[in-house]
Amino acid sequence: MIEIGVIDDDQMLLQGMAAWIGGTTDIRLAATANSVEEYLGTARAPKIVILDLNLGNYTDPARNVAQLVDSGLRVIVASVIPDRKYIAATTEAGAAAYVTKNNNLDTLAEVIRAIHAGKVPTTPEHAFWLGRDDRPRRPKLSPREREILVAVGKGTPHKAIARQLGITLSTVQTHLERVRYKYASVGRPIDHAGDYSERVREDSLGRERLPDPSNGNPHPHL
Amino acid sequence: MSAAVALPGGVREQTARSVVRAAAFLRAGQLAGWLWVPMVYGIGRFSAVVLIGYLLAVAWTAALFTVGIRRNGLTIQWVLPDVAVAVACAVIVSRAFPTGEAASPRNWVLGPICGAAVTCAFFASGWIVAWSVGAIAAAWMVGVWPEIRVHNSALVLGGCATIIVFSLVAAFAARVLFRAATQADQAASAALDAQRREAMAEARDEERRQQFKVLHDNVLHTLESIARGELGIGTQQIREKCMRDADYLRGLITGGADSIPTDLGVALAGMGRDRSALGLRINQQFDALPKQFPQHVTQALTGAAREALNNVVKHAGTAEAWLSAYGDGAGGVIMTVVDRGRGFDPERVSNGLGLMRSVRHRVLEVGGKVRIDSAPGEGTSVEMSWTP
Repeated sequence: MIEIGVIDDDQMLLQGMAAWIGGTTDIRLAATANSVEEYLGTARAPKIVILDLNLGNYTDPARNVAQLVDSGLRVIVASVIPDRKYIAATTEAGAAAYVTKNNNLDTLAEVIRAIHAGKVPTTPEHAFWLGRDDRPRRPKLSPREREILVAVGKGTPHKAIARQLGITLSTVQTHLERVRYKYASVGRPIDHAGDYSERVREDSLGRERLPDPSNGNPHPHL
Repeated sequence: MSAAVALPGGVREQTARSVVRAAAFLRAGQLAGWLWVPMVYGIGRFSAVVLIGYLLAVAWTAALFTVGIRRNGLTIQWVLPDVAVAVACAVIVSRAFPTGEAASPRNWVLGPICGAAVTCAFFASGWIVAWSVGAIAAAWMVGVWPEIRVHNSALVLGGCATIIVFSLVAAFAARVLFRAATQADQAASAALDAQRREAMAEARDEERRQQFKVLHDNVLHTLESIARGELGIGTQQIREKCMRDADYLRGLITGGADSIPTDLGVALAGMGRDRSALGLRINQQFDALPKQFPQHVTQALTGAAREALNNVVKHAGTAEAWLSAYGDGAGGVIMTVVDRGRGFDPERVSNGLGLMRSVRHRVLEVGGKVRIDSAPGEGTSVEMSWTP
């Protein structure tokens, strides 16, 4: 049985997630929390945790990931709306996977199982947004790595990519892992959560917060 | 000033038409005005060179202005030969007259060469006019130089001054006329552009209103039904409906570079929502779609994506597909429809042909490209791209 935890500030989503995970036989939701601090304070918190990218307490998503990774946890970042910058930043902060909340249970269960097996899975949506990373200081990917990342991002099956490029399935996997490794160790390693503020400053992420609902509708045209 | 680039039907074209006709009338008058001379003095008085030169000049002029009037202007390829004819006449015909007559009204060349200088000033520009007028004036001087010796220098220099003054006035008039005409055309075309933009914006707004109406009718209706307790949220049907609505909303707000919906993103999200109703689970990913996108291309690409997704439903044997689209940074778009279904051998299966036909003709029609990749058991990928 794989035990996981969920950090989300939306009570309805937490309940929904519990019912959802209940649909699998090998995964159990063992802990829920509204914030990173609360989760870290939980006794025997599961080592695999799903973290909401956009917690309502306006904490920096990448800093949240760094804090959890520092505590030896493996983090799956989940979001309702994909945000290119924050997906890249949380990947650099050491997140093991990124999923959108609309993901069906099969995909999420596969990601959880892969992480449990010690792998670093890259979902199509994760690959798509990393492939769209246009920050000036993004990790330098080789043309082949980029090619594979973009193909995965379009939903292309790995074996189709292997055939198109004339390489083996395991080489496709190796390239993806190297992309993730480059993100996780982009030359500015984070040893402590405290280092994170330095990178936040470098990426100028801190200057713009995620939309604050109290400031009104962030999409007034809708 | 070259009138060759006149816009069809514009003020500049009308001006060029009037100017070329005026030049033609002027030249015709200058040539015809000499006809009284042989009548009064007797045709036998004039040498063959003078008479044949006159007839050749008439023939050339007729050809020149037939072309000019038909094309509403004269290009440099016609103006320069006209100048060359004027230079040749000025020298050869003038020298054919006996001394004492070359600078007199009995010589027919002064009028027409003056006309050639004026025509050149109308339809050529800058240094070409200066050199041409200079050459014609110089040729006149060379042709009638013997007259200086018989004290006809007033007529010699007067002719030269006439050529230069007429061309200066013509050049100035042409400049003023064509500049005013160009400005009028620019103003008219700017007004037309503004009108067109306004019409397009209106059409876009209308399209968007329609799309948001769909949004309200569906998403709001779903939410309100749940709120009123009319729908049990646990049922499979309502879950699927909520999922479709959620995907649609997400598609709407992720397509633009700054979370502002784009026409293409809105069209694709709406199309995806309709396909989802057929039981297909579509993973949509849109990013940095161009803000300004031609409406017919939006329609063609959306239609092509719809065909590719229909094909997944019909042939792939899977209930899941990926639809992604992103801007190429230069106003173009790269869009893919991918499934992980049974695939086909592109060289053998007719299914591939049908897919290629229905998707391809939509994309190729608007100047886009299509690339289809498939293999048995490896799903199908249809990549469509369009660049302005």
